[in-house]
Amino acid sequence: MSASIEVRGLSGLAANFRTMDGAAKQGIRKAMRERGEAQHAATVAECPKRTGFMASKTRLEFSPEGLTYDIGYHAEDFEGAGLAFYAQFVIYGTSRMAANDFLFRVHEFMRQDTTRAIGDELRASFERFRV
Amino acid sequence: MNTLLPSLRRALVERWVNDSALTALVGGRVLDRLARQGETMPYLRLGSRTEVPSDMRTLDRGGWDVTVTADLFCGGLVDNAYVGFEEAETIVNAMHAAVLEPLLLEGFGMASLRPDGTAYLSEDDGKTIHVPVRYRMSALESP
Repeated sequence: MSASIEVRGLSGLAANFRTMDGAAKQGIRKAMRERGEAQHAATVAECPKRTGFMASKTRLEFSPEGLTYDIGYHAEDFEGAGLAFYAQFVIYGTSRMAANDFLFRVHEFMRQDTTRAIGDELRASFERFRV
Repeated sequence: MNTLLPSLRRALVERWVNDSALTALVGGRVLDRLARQGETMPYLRLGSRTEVPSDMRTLDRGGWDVTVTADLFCGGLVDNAYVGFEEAETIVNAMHAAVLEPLLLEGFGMASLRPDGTAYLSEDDGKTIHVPVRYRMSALESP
Protein backbone atom coordinates (compact mmCIF):
# COMPACT_ATOMS: atom_id res chain seq x y z
CA MET A 1 0.00 0.00 0.00
CA SER A 2 1.31 3.43 -0.85
CA ALA A 3 0.50 6.13 1.65
CA SER A 4 2.08 9.25 2.94
CA ILE A 5 1.54 12.15 5.29
CA GLU A 6 2.96 15.40 4.01
CA VAL A 7 2.80 19.15 4.20
CA ARG A 8 3.63 21.30 1.20
CA GLY A 9 5.58 24.55 1.30
CA LEU A 10 3.46 27.40 -0.03
CA SER A 11 0.91 25.16 -1.78
CA GLY A 12 2.65 25.38 -5.10
CA LEU A 13 1.94 29.10 -5.44
CA ALA A 14 5.41 29.87 -6.68
CA ALA A 15 5.29 27.06 -9.23
CA ASN A 16 2.50 28.88 -11.06
CA PHE A 17 4.71 31.79 -12.01
CA ARG A 18 5.66 30.15 -15.28
CA THR A 19 6.56 33.36 -17.05
CA MET A 20 8.79 34.63 -14.31
CA ASP A 21 12.24 35.76 -15.31
CA GLY A 22 15.13 33.42 -14.71
CA ALA A 23 16.71 35.49 -11.97
CA ALA A 24 13.48 35.52 -9.96
CA LYS A 25 13.12 31.76 -10.32
CA GLN A 26 16.69 31.34 -9.20
CA GLY A 27 16.04 33.50 -6.15
CA ILE A 28 12.84 31.68 -5.24
CA ARG A 29 14.53 28.32 -5.75
CA LYS A 30 17.26 29.37 -3.31
CA ALA A 31 14.71 30.71 -0.80
CA MET A 32 12.62 27.53 -1.02
CA ARG A 33 15.68 25.35 -0.53
CA GLU A 34 16.65 27.29 2.58
CA ARG A 35 13.10 27.29 3.96
CA GLY A 36 12.61 23.61 3.14
CA GLU A 37 15.82 22.62 4.87
CA ALA A 38 14.98 24.75 7.91
CA GLN A 39 11.47 23.29 8.13
CA HIS A 40 12.82 19.76 7.71
CA ALA A 41 15.32 20.31 10.54
CA ALA A 42 12.59 21.70 12.79
CA THR A 43 10.29 18.78 11.95
CA VAL A 44 13.00 16.24 12.80
CA ALA A 45 13.69 18.10 16.06
CA GLU A 46 9.99 18.07 17.02
CA CYS A 47 9.35 14.45 16.03
CA PRO A 48 8.88 12.26 19.13
CA LYS A 49 11.84 9.93 19.55
CA ARG A 50 11.81 6.58 21.23
CA THR A 51 14.00 4.66 18.83
CA GLY A 52 14.64 7.60 16.49
CA PHE A 53 13.43 5.57 13.49
CA MET A 54 10.52 7.81 12.59
CA ALA A 55 12.57 11.00 12.89
CA SER A 56 15.21 9.45 10.62
CA LYS A 57 12.51 8.84 7.98
CA THR A 58 11.38 12.45 7.75
CA ARG A 59 11.58 13.14 4.04
CA LEU A 60 12.21 16.46 2.34
CA GLU A 61 11.46 16.41 -1.38
CA PHE A 62 11.67 19.32 -3.78
CA SER A 63 9.67 19.57 -6.99
CA PRO A 64 11.73 19.11 -10.18
CA GLU A 65 11.99 22.89 -10.64
CA GLY A 66 12.79 23.38 -6.98
CA LEU A 67 9.92 25.83 -6.47
CA THR A 68 7.95 23.79 -3.91
CA TYR A 69 8.78 21.16 -1.34
CA ASP A 70 7.05 18.38 0.57
CA ILE A 71 7.97 17.23 4.05
CA GLY A 72 6.52 14.09 5.54
CA TYR A 73 6.52 10.33 5.91
CA HIS A 74 6.03 7.53 3.41
CA ALA A 75 4.50 4.16 4.27
CA GLU A 76 7.09 2.34 2.18
CA ASP A 77 9.89 3.55 4.46
CA PHE A 78 8.19 1.88 7.42
CA GLU A 79 6.95 -1.22 5.63
CA GLY A 80 10.38 -1.71 4.09
CA ALA A 81 11.74 -2.03 7.62
CA GLY A 82 9.02 -4.52 8.56
CA LEU A 83 7.01 -1.97 10.55
CA ALA A 84 3.44 -0.75 10.36
CA PHE A 85 3.04 2.79 9.08
CA TYR A 86 2.74 4.12 12.61
CA ALA A 87 3.49 7.74 11.68
CA GLN A 88 -0.24 8.22 11.10
CA PHE A 89 -1.02 7.11 14.66
CA VAL A 90 1.64 9.40 16.13
CA ILE A 91 0.61 12.45 14.12
CA TYR A 92 -3.17 12.05 14.06
CA GLY A 93 -3.60 10.16 17.35
CA THR A 94 -6.13 7.40 17.90
CA SER A 95 -9.24 6.87 20.00
CA ARG A 96 -6.90 5.74 22.79
CA MET A 97 -3.97 8.11 22.26
CA ALA A 98 -3.70 11.88 21.88
CA ALA A 99 -2.34 13.26 18.62
CA ASN A 100 1.06 14.89 18.32
CA ASP A 101 0.68 16.73 15.06
CA PHE A 102 4.17 18.23 15.13
CA LEU A 103 4.33 18.00 11.32
CA PHE A 104 1.48 20.50 10.88
CA ARG A 105 2.47 22.54 13.92
CA VAL A 106 5.95 23.21 12.53
CA HIS A 107 4.42 23.95 9.13
CA GLU A 108 2.03 26.51 10.63
CA PHE A 109 4.76 28.27 12.55
CA MET A 110 7.07 28.48 9.53
CA ARG A 111 4.68 29.16 6.68
CA GLN A 112 4.64 32.93 7.21
CA ASP A 113 8.43 33.05 6.96
CA THR A 114 8.24 31.05 3.74
CA THR A 115 5.58 33.35 2.35
CA ARG A 116 7.69 36.38 3.24
CA ALA A 117 10.80 34.91 1.63
CA ILE A 118 8.88 34.33 -1.62
CA GLY A 119 7.35 37.81 -1.39
CA ASP A 120 10.80 39.36 -1.01
CA GLU A 121 12.05 37.55 -4.09
CA LEU A 122 8.98 38.58 -6.12
CA ARG A 123 9.37 42.20 -5.07
CA ALA A 124 13.00 42.12 -6.11
CA SER A 125 11.91 40.68 -9.46
CA PHE A 126 9.32 43.41 -10.02
CA GLU A 127 11.93 46.03 -9.18
CA ARG A 128 14.17 44.57 -11.87
CA PHE A 129 11.35 44.91 -14.43
CA ARG A 130 10.76 48.55 -13.47
CA VAL A 131 14.31 49.75 -14.06
CA MET B 1 -3.14 40.36 22.40
CA ASN B 2 -5.51 37.79 23.89
CA THR B 3 -5.60 34.27 22.57
CA LEU B 4 -8.46 33.41 20.27
CA LEU B 5 -8.54 29.73 21.14
CA PRO B 6 -10.85 29.69 24.22
CA SER B 7 -13.58 31.66 22.48
CA LEU B 8 -13.21 29.56 19.34
CA ARG B 9 -13.46 26.38 21.39
CA ARG B 10 -16.64 27.55 23.12
CA ALA B 11 -18.24 28.80 19.90
CA LEU B 12 -17.41 25.65 17.98
CA VAL B 13 -18.70 23.25 20.62
CA GLU B 14 -21.87 25.33 21.03
CA ARG B 15 -22.44 25.41 17.27
CA TRP B 16 -22.03 21.66 16.81
CA VAL B 17 -23.98 20.67 19.93
CA ASN B 18 -26.89 22.87 18.86
CA ASP B 19 -26.95 21.76 15.24
CA SER B 20 -29.90 19.42 14.83
CA ALA B 21 -28.54 17.56 11.78
CA LEU B 22 -25.22 16.85 13.49
CA THR B 23 -26.89 15.99 16.78
CA ALA B 24 -29.01 13.41 14.99
CA LEU B 25 -25.81 11.78 13.76
CA VAL B 26 -23.52 11.95 16.82
CA GLY B 27 -26.10 12.24 19.61
CA GLY B 28 -24.63 15.49 20.91
CA ARG B 29 -21.32 13.82 21.73
CA VAL B 30 -18.96 16.74 21.03
CA LEU B 31 -16.12 16.41 23.53
CA ASP B 32 -13.69 19.05 24.62
CA ARG B 33 -11.67 16.49 26.57
CA LEU B 34 -10.03 13.12 26.03
CA ALA B 35 -12.56 10.37 25.45
CA ARG B 36 -13.22 7.90 28.24
CA GLN B 37 -12.48 4.25 27.66
CA GLY B 38 -15.45 2.74 25.84
CA GLU B 39 -16.90 6.13 24.87
CA THR B 40 -20.01 5.59 22.77
CA MET B 41 -19.33 6.10 19.09
CA PRO B 42 -19.74 8.08 16.97
CA TYR B 43 -18.30 11.11 18.74
CA LEU B 44 -16.36 14.26 17.96
CA ARG B 45 -13.36 15.35 19.98
CA LEU B 46 -11.72 18.74 19.70
CA GLY B 47 -8.06 18.11 19.09
CA SER B 48 -4.93 20.03 18.15
CA ARG B 49 -5.01 23.77 17.65
CA THR B 50 -2.37 26.23 16.43
CA GLU B 51 -2.38 29.99 16.63
CA VAL B 52 0.12 32.33 14.96
CA PRO B 53 -0.02 36.14 14.60
CA SER B 54 -1.89 37.01 11.45
CA ASP B 55 -0.46 39.07 8.62
CA MET B 56 -3.89 40.75 8.59
CA ARG B 57 -3.17 42.46 11.91
CA THR B 58 -2.96 46.23 11.99
CA LEU B 59 -1.18 48.74 14.20
CA ASP B 60 -4.06 48.95 16.65
CA ARG B 61 -5.71 45.56 16.19
CA GLY B 62 -4.09 42.21 16.72
CA GLY B 63 -5.13 39.11 14.85
CA TRP B 64 -4.52 35.38 14.68
CA ASP B 65 -4.30 32.72 12.03
CA VAL B 66 -5.71 29.62 13.66
CA THR B 67 -6.06 25.96 12.82
CA VAL B 68 -8.25 23.60 14.79
CA THR B 69 -8.64 19.88 14.29
CA ALA B 70 -11.78 18.00 15.25
CA ASP B 71 -11.35 14.24 15.50
CA LEU B 72 -14.34 12.13 14.53
CA PHE B 73 -14.41 8.53 15.74
CA CYS B 74 -17.01 6.17 14.36
CA GLY B 75 -17.48 2.76 12.81
CA GLY B 76 -17.96 -0.74 14.09
CA LEU B 77 -20.18 -3.72 13.52
CA VAL B 78 -23.90 -3.07 13.21
CA ASP B 79 -26.15 -6.11 12.67
CA ASN B 80 -23.10 -8.04 11.57
CA ALA B 81 -22.50 -5.53 8.78
CA TYR B 82 -19.55 -3.21 8.82
CA VAL B 83 -20.45 0.45 8.96
CA GLY B 84 -17.77 3.08 8.77
CA PHE B 85 -16.62 5.30 5.97
CA GLU B 86 -20.08 6.17 4.64
CA GLU B 87 -21.17 7.17 8.12
CA ALA B 88 -17.98 9.22 8.51
CA GLU B 89 -18.54 11.06 5.25
CA THR B 90 -22.11 11.91 6.23
CA ILE B 91 -20.98 13.27 9.60
CA VAL B 92 -18.14 15.29 8.07
CA ASN B 93 -20.59 16.88 5.64
CA ALA B 94 -22.83 17.81 8.58
CA MET B 95 -19.85 19.28 10.46
CA HIS B 96 -18.95 21.47 7.49
CA ALA B 97 -22.57 22.55 6.96
CA ALA B 98 -22.90 23.56 10.61
CA VAL B 99 -19.99 26.00 10.38
CA LEU B 100 -20.91 27.59 7.05
CA GLU B 101 -22.31 30.57 8.96
CA PRO B 102 -19.57 32.61 10.69
CA LEU B 103 -18.94 32.04 14.39
CA LEU B 104 -19.33 34.86 16.90
CA LEU B 105 -16.07 34.97 18.88
CA GLU B 106 -15.84 36.93 22.11
CA GLY B 107 -13.36 39.77 21.63
CA PHE B 108 -12.96 39.08 17.92
CA GLY B 109 -16.39 39.48 16.33
CA MET B 110 -17.56 37.23 13.51
CA ALA B 111 -15.15 34.92 11.73
CA SER B 112 -15.52 32.00 9.36
CA LEU B 113 -13.92 28.59 9.53
CA ARG B 114 -12.90 26.95 6.29
CA PRO B 115 -12.11 23.27 5.85
CA ASP B 116 -8.38 22.68 5.45
CA GLY B 117 -8.07 18.95 5.02
CA THR B 118 -9.60 15.66 6.08
CA ALA B 119 -8.05 12.21 6.40
CA TYR B 120 -10.02 8.96 6.70
CA LEU B 121 -7.98 6.48 8.74
CA SER B 122 -8.63 2.95 9.97
CA GLU B 123 -7.40 2.19 13.46
CA ASP B 124 -5.55 -1.01 14.17
CA ASP B 125 -8.58 -2.61 15.87
CA GLY B 126 -10.00 -3.01 12.36
CA LYS B 127 -13.33 -1.40 13.07
CA THR B 128 -12.78 2.13 14.32
CA ILE B 129 -12.67 4.90 11.73
CA HIS B 130 -10.74 8.01 12.78
CA VAL B 131 -11.27 11.17 10.77
CA PRO B 132 -9.18 14.22 11.69
CA VAL B 133 -10.91 17.25 10.16
CA ARG B 134 -8.82 20.40 10.06
CA TYR B 135 -10.25 23.90 9.84
CA ARG B 136 -8.50 27.23 9.32
CA MET B 137 -9.56 30.70 10.38
CA SER B 138 -8.19 34.24 10.51
CA ALA B 139 -9.64 36.79 12.91
CA LEU B 140 -8.89 40.33 14.02
CA GLU B 141 -9.53 41.67 17.51
CA SER B 142 -12.70 43.71 17.83
CA PRO B 143 -12.04 47.47 17.68
